[in-house]
Amino acid sequence: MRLFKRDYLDLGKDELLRRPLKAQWHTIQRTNPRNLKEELKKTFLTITKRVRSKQDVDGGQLYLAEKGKWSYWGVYLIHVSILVIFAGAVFGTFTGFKGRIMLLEGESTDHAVQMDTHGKVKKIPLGFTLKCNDFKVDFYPNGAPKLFKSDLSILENGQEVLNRSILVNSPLTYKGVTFYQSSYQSVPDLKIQIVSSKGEQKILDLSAFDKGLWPQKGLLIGIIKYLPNVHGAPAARLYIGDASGNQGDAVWLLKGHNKEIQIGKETYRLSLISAKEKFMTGLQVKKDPGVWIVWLGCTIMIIGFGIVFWVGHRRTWLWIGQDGNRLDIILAGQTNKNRVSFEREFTKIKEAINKQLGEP
Amino acid sequence: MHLSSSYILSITTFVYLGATAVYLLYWIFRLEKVGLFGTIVTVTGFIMQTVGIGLRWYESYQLGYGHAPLSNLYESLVFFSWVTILVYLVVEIKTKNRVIGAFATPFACLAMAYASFSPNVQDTIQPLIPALQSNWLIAHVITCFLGYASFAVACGFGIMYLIRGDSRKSTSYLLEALPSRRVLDELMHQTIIFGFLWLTVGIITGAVWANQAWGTYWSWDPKETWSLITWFVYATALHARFVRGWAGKKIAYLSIIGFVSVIFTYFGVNFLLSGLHSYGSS
Repeated sequence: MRLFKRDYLDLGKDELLRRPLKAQWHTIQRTNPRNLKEELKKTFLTITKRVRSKQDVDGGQLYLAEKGKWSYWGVYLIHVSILVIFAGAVFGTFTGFKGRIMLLEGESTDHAVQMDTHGKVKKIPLGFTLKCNDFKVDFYPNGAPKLFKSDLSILENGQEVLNRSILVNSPLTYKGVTFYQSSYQSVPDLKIQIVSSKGEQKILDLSAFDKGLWPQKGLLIGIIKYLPNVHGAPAARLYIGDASGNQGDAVWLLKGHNKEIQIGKETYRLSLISAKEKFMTGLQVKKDPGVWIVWLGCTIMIIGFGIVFWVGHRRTWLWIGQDGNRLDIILAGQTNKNRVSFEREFTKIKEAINKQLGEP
Repeated sequence: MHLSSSYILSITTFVYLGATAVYLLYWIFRLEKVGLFGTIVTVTGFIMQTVGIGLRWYESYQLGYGHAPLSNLYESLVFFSWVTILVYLVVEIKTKNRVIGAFATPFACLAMAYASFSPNVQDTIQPLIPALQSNWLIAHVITCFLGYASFAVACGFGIMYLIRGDSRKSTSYLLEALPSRRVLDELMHQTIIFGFLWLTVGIITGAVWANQAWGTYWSWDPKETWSLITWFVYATALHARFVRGWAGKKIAYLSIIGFVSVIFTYFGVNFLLSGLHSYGSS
């Protein structure tokens, strides 16, 4: 700040000669020194562009070309950027949300689920419906996962308005809500045949999180565990009992092998007709209106670094004093960054003055 | 014989070891020819390593994976060593002092030795898991490692500064050859600034990527936390210099502490703490 406020035109002749870069001329008698003075000034101006001047500095005129004085502000920019990032994070926390959605293929939902720190589940309405049409998982030959892909549809009032597939690094955003592929589960989808001792029969479709019911018989069936391959055939451990929950039993069912079980007074024969696997996609859901403020902060920070580390404060002074018909000239320069390129510029001015004075 | 990338890269280890030895000889005997030879050996190693990295990239396409060789611990170590040499060569050209080589090449050599010969590090090319399938991978790893490598070189300068001793007092024959304390201090400062800028960009690219992959730009994953700690160590060093005018010894200690923090961010987190970056550990 002190460096910024300082007026660098407020220097004396002696101080100019203490700058890191300097040159001094003492001309011979001239017929028209006033003209030469004007020409020198013009030369200085064309090379350095913006110039300020001050009369009567140690009996001469002082010109100053300054560049990049504002670079002292770069350091404030960096610190402000940190505040901007925090502001964005806070704004996002209060105006957005984070949640999860687990969707079976073919299933849809209109809300995301959020679990707070106490394990309490909260439903967050999306304002539209999200449907998972299909999920695909692919593996490399070495067993590492290669691809997780969900085919999603957005429905508004039952009408599909958007259909897109998402991958782990390629989420879907709709109305400010973004869906990220984050996990998946494979879920058994079983077809089970039940035959009562009286010969009545029922075929039930069971998936992992549903219960199958046979209302006429008051029977309830659920999946406890599923193994896709037991001695070459799928197997499932099922719970079977009456709907009131008073009586029941668990039983292992292997495809191709029937099993009989007694519930109350009746005996049932169970068989596993088919077993498929269905996928359930795990989505991370997020709405964060503050994220752009965070990115803005990051950008400001990088710009701030650029200024602090690369933009220098360059000062070039030209002092011309008159002593009868002779001119006294001092050229001085100083920079705080990138000295090499500044020296090049300084030499350019020096040579131009040399030429004008007719000196080699 | 089939010339594989990991074979070429393991030879690079010995080339860098040779470079370290030659730079040490140069330091002791101070013959210009020896110094020049040191540079030639280093550049040869650097070219070999570049070819090795390029070949590994090509091999990954042949295996059908097709990704830049920046995806696991082995590849990151190779890249770290490559950038360290790159930063060193730039410093050598700028300062025209080859003794620095005796302090910078060991870092590259150690990284390569660890990558090539440790049983904990697998040098096979692995396919990219879905989380890594992003163009941000390249930007994130390159920026982070530009930072890490600059900090390694800055640490080298810090060590040199501390053993250099006061130049006004009579110093031993060996210490005389090191750049003056003033020059070392300036170099330390510049490499820290350079590294700090890249670490910052590395953290930001990581945040952008995390936001795209998981929907969270910051999740206090151990790697994230430790990179932030490292960032603060170097921010402290820069502030101490700008505001309090710290220089020399104090900054030299800070640059060494900072690099310890870098090492922990890089390895410690992978082995001791699990998290989002765990694929970097094998």
